[in-house]
Amino acid sequence: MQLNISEQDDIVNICVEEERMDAHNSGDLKEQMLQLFDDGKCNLTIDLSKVRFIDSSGLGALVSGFKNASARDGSLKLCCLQPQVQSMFELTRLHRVFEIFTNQEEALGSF
Amino acid sequence: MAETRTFIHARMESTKQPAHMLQELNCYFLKDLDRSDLFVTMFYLQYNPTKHRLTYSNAGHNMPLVWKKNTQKIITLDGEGLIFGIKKDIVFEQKEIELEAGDVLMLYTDGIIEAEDSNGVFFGIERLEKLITEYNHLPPQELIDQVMTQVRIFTGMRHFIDDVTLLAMTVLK
Repeated sequence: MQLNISEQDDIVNICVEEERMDAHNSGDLKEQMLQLFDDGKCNLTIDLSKVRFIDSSGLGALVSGFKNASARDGSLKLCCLQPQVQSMFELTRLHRVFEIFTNQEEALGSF
Repeated sequence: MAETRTFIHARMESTKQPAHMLQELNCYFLKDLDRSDLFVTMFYLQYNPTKHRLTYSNAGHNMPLVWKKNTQKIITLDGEGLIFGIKKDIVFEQKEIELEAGDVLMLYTDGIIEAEDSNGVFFGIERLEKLITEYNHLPPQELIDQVMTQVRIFTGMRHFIDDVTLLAMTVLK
């Protein structure tokens, strides 16, 4: 999975540079997040602007990141969800679990 | 899957209400799936054939469809809740509807509605609704076979990429 990672103060922004987040590539995001957590970086924003489709594996990777960040007193926030992706969050009611922002600036400003 | 079934079978006698069952499952999975990337969705229904009453709660699963014979229209079942294993103290909403002879209930997984054609277009809920509307008179197994056939024709493939589960129930009397 292609990920564009940048840091601003103590917040890491991960931009998912893929159209699909599914069983084939979501493990990469999970591994990347675990690496960041191990390095003590527990405040993350995930930019999903390029993602057109997300399945249960993709949601699972984000849930894993959310739980791990919370367990370390950090937080994982999402931004820039396309309609199809937003509808998956609404179906599973995960939109009430994650903080979701319309753009990256808002997500960064919320920490 | 096997774990979930075992849990439900073990608790069926003591936990009568769908919402309570989902709450107990959520508590169980919360401990079991701690920090994991796995989660479980579920739509839990109970049908009382004497009272013709369907009672249900939802833990983030695809919303079942009911074809109502009297209105000749499809309604969608849903209830507030959350997928299992994420947060504790989730309140699962419990709802009821009455079914009549000729009504058809269909439950499905995302493998059906997210089946894609060669252009990446999803089969979607609307196509599924049209099939139920068209074939509601068929016995449940034939209705399921018809849906599976139509999804295969849509994707152009015999095999499904994702796993698929379909459940149909017709009220006879």
